[in-house]
Formats: sequence, C-alpha cells, structure tokens
Amino acid sequence: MSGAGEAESVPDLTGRWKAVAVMRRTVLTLLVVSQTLAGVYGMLSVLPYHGGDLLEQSILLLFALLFAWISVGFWTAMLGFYMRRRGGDPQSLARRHDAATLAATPLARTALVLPIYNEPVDRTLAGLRATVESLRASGQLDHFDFYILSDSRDADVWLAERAGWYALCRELGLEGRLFYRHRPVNLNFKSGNVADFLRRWGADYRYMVVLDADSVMGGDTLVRMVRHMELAPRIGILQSSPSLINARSAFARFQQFANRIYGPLFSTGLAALQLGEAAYWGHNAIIRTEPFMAHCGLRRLSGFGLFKGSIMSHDFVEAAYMGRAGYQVWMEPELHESYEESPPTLVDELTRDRRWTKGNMQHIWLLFFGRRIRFAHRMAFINGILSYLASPVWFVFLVLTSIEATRLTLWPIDYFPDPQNSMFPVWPEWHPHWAVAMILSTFFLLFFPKFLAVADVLLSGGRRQFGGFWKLLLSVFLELFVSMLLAPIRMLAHSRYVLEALFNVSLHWGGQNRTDETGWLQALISQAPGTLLAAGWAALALWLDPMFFYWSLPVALPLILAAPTSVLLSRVAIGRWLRERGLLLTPEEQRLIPLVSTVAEPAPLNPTPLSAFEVAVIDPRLNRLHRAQARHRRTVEPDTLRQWAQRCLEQGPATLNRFQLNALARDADSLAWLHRQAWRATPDGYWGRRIGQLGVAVRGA
Amino acid sequence: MPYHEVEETLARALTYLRLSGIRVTPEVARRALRLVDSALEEGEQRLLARVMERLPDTFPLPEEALPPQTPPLHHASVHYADSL
Repeated sequence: MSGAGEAESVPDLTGRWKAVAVMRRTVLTLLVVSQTLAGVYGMLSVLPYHGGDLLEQSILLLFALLFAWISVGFWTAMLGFYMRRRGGDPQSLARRHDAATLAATPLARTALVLPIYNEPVDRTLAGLRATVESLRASGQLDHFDFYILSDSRDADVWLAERAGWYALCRELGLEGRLFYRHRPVNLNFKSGNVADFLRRWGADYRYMVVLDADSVMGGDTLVRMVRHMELAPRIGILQSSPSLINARSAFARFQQFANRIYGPLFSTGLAALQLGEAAYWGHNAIIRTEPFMAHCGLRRLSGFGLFKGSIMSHDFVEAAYMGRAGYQVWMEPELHESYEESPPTLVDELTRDRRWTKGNMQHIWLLFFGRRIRFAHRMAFINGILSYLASPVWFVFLVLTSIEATRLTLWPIDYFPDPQNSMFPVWPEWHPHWAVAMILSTFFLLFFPKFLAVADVLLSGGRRQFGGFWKLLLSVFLELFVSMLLAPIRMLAHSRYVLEALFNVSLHWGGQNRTDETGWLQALISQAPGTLLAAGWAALALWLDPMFFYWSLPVALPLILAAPTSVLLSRVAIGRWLRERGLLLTPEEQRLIPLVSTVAEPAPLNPTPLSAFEVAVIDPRLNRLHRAQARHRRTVEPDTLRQWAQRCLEQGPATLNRFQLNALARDADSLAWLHRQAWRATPDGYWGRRIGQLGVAVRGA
Repeated sequence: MPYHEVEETLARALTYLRLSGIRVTPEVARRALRLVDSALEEGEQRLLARVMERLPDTFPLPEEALPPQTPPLHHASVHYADSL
C-alpha cells in the first residue's frame, strides 16, 4: 500500500472544506487571541504592581493560558449555536447527500467489533443485542457481522461472556455471524485487541464499527454511516457523537443532562472547526479497514518514563495517522441513535480520568516527535493534553495568587520591584472594580454557552423533551451548581494525575472501587487530602484578609465538602428522586425508545446464584461448549492441573487463585473431569449443594 | 438405605436431564425411576455415582451443533510506519 499516494488517487469531490476549515480556524484564532489579550490587559490592571515583578508575570502567563483555554470553548459553542440555528453546517457530511442518494447506495461488508475487558456481561451483551435488533429492523442485518473481542482476565468473567455469546447466538439466530474471541494474552490494551482482530479477519471487511462495552447504536444510523463511507472513499474514519443514556445515580444524571443539553452545541462547533480533520474517540465510529491496517499500526514510544512503551490513548493517534496517510476523519453530530453511558459516580469518573490523563500526556511526545502529522491533528493532541493540564495550571495559578495576597498583607510594600529601573518608585494600586469585571467576564465565558444551549433547545421547540421550560431552567441552575462543586475536586484530582503521569509514578492516597455507590469511609479517605488542603488555605486566607477569604470560598468550599458531595451524588435514590420530580430529564427518558429501554435493566444471562465457573462445571450444555472451545496447548503440567481440579472438587473454586481457575477453565480434560465428579458428589458436599441450587433455579424457570 | 438418598438420586438425574435439554415427561420420569431401581438392585453403595454413570446410556443426550466461535482465519498484516 502506498500511503498518502493511495488516498490521493481517490477523487475528492468535496475539497472545498479545506479552505473553509482554514478560514474558520483563522477567525477562531483571531477571536481567541484578541479576547485573551483583552483579558491579560484587564488582569494587568488588577494586579497591584501591574506585572512589575516575576510573581505577577507568572500569574499573568498562567492567566493567559487559562483564559485562552476557556475562550476556545466559548467560541466553539458560539459557532455551534450559529450552525445549529442556520439548520446545520453546510460543509458537514449530513448535508452532502440527499436521502434518495443515500438510500440508493449499496452497503458493503461491515464488522461490528466490541472489545471488552472485565466488563459487566449482562449490560454489555444487552447493548449488543439492542444494536443487532435495531439492525434487523432496518432490514440490513445481512451486511453486518459481529465480534465480541474479549481481553478479560477472570475466568468467571470470560466464561460468562462465552456463555452469553452462545445464548445470544441462539436467541438472535446469529450462528456463524456473531463471534467470540478471547485473547489469551492482552498485549497493547484495547488497540492491541482490535489489531488482533484485524490481523485475523480484517481483510474480510471493508469497514469495522468499533463499539465500547456500554455502546448502543441504531441500525439506521449504522447503515447511514456505511453509505456515507461508500459515497466518500477518502474518508478513513467517521465518528458519531454519542449521547449519554440510562443514568441512575444523581452524578450520572447530571452528566447525562449536561451532555444532552450542552453537548450538541459544543460538538457542532467542534465538528465545524475540524471538518475532515476531526478526532476519533475510540468507539461509536466506523473505520475503513484497509487504510487503517496499512497506516495505523501503533509503534511503541521510544522515549523515557511515560514516553516509553505502548500508546495508551490510541484513538487520537490513529486519527492522526489516518490523516497523515491522506484520509479524512469526520465527526458528524447529526448521526443520531449513538449512545454510551456515564460513569455512575465521581470515583468511577476519576478512575477513568486517571487512565485518560496518562494517555493524553503521552501525546506530548507525539506532538513534538510525530512526523508528518497534520497541524489540525497536532491541535487535537494539544486539546486533549490541555483538558488535563489546565488543572495543574489552575492550581498553580491559585497558589501564586495566594502568595501575592500574602505578600501584600504581610510584607512591606516594595516601591522598587524592578531593580533595573529603580529611579522611580512604583506605587501599588488596587482596582476592586477591575477584579470584579475580570471575574464576571470569566464567568460569562464559562456559563454563557450553557444558557445559549438552553436558548437553542427553546428555539428548536424542544423544551418539553427536557420537562418543560421551568423544569429545564431549574435543571440548568442545579447543573451549574453541581458543576461548580465538582470543578475544584476535578482540578485537584487531575493535577495529581498529571503529576503522576509526567513523573511516571503512582501517588495513592485512598482506595477506589467500582461499586454502584460510594461509601462514606471511602469518600472521607480519598477526599481527605483535598479537604485538609482547602481548609488550611481558607484558614490562611481568613487570617490574612477576610476579603481574600471570601474570594477563596468558591474553590475551598467544594473541596471541603468533597466527601459528602461524592457520596450524595453517587446515590441512585437521589437520582430517582430528581427524575420523579421531572428534573434533569432528557429526550430519551421522555419517550420510549426500544433501543435505549431494553438495555436499561438487562435481564441476567445467568439467573442462578452460581458463579460462571460453577455453571461451566455443572451445566452439561455449557460444559460441552467450554470444552469444545478449550485450548489444545497446555501451559500447565497435567499432574498440577489434576491437583488443582481435586482441590476445586473438594473445597470449591474459591480456594483457587485466578491463574489456577483460568488454567482449569481453559483445559478441556479438567472441565470434563470436574463435570463428571461434581454430578457424582454427595448432596451435602460443595458441588452437591451447588447442583441442588441450580436444580431449584431450573425447576423455577 | 435412607429413603431421601434414593429421592435425591432421582432428583439429581432429572435435573441433569433438564439441563441437558430433555423435557421431563411422565415417560422420561418412569425411565429415570427404572434406572434408579436397577441401580439399587445392585446394592446401596455408590448409588448416585452408578446412576449418573449410566444416565447417558439410558437417555441419549441431545448434542446441539455449537456455533463457530470464530470464522476461518484470513491472515493479513497491520503495518507500522517507519517513524511515529
């Protein structure tokens, strides 16, 4: 394959987008730069020495960075609002072909791949089932095959996955079309899993759609995506913009509401700026397999520390490589029926962010050493890096402003801050009205887009979908309040993650788990450092100057209240209470969408009280299934396996470790032996009791 | 021999048949009873084990065709650029 030349040989009938993209990005840059300069000028007036010493110059520099960052967000939302009010971006893919052209376009073989790693099996397969059923309803199911690509390490998880796959094959009549691959070694994380699929079967498909464990996609949307790809051979990746669904906890409901109401504005603005040089988000996207295989293999980083080894956040890099090969990457916000779920709690979100921070910080290396990567994709790297780096910048900004306040209160006034130019004294000046103006303008940049999003909903006649005008407004104010509570907590956590990433260390100070709700003890421990730091800072501010104390409260108070915030937001009961009162409603909750409702409360694939391993031993059909799929190559000596099987028979699987259970579950002879012996076990022994429980469940069914 | 052992043996056999996909009709239940009965005639020791050993001979267990877990391999390469 010839790389860029190969893509160039495909005629580009829509080349105008490049000129439009340059024009839009230039305008954005001018707006952001001029707004930032105005902000810096305002800040100069606020600072007592007007940037006359190193401390104030550092404050100014950090302020400029932060102000530019929020300015980019502000203008992206403005552009999104403008595009939505004019009926959509004329440059977007959605406007490129009419419905008749799309409908007349033949489909091509497409694989839906679902890479998973120790995920909740019931929910994951319920999402896949809903997607398959939706494709069946579209009448185009025959063009699609489905692959569950498991990297799960626990026997109880992957045995459940395989049993679920078998049940799904039978239920949906997809034998020979729905496949299950369990990688014995999970090399290179998710991107390695997808690459493993491509090496084995990628050549059989022109496209692959990558799903996440919590993804659900509508059949019509998938069909539309394939047709768009067929009509535009230079598109390498087409990314949809997923909406959040099925939120139950208060935290998830706030995220879902924010995503649903503000998301369209930001994603439309972002898509209008990126056009054919968009980012790939790793899922709910369709990929042209041939160029992806030819150009998007991920080399290991060759640097030091964090910048050495496998690339963790693969998606942005793959988009950049696709662009480098001459293919376009589009994000299309008007591809509806693309869904995912929010982490249920703040703890879960921060756990995820910790991984993402590392992945995005790794992109610093690619930003500087990635060759021939397009400027727009380098900007996408910067965007991802700043999403997390902004937090420590904000943190240091707060530290420096605190030092400034301390200096002004405790130290004598320095009339000659610049030793090079000490002929004339500098009189420190305070302009409280300028400070208020600066704060107000910052708030305006942060919050005005949110109200613009509400205006967009109202102008589109969609207020009923969000519970009506007053409930929508109340929901927005509630969301604003909660986002202000969460911002300092995220800031502190992200600052820690950035430090961890850059110094390639792990700074643990509290346990984290992935339970449905956060416990008080867990929250108190994990939030204690932030709480203590904020309390100390607020106390210092109060001692220095009551006015400084009041200024510190918007950051200090949320950190002091972080533990109760984390616990209460994780509560499903509070989420339900909000929903029952018509607050934080989203359109998907207002009308019954089968695609969404079927995955909200998935029926358990294994309704018995037995673990997947126990079922694999006892159930004759599943035991046969697992034996048939077992590996022929043994990695453990037969005598050792027999000892473990004997222990499992006598004392149950809980007495074996993960490695031992995996070895038994992968060995056909061990599974057959355990099955035979378990059914001959006395009723009062371990397996006899388990068979009794299974018998009760079977008779009940 | 305690009665409940015989009862449990029969219940175990019927559970196995159900899980194997065999519908437990009166005829199936009678055959299972006969199997337990004949095993009992040979002695009370290892009754459960003997019944379970003979179950596949008495009831040919259905063996559904298993779906292919993966399609045939069609090897291809993922290419890596010379540089990052």
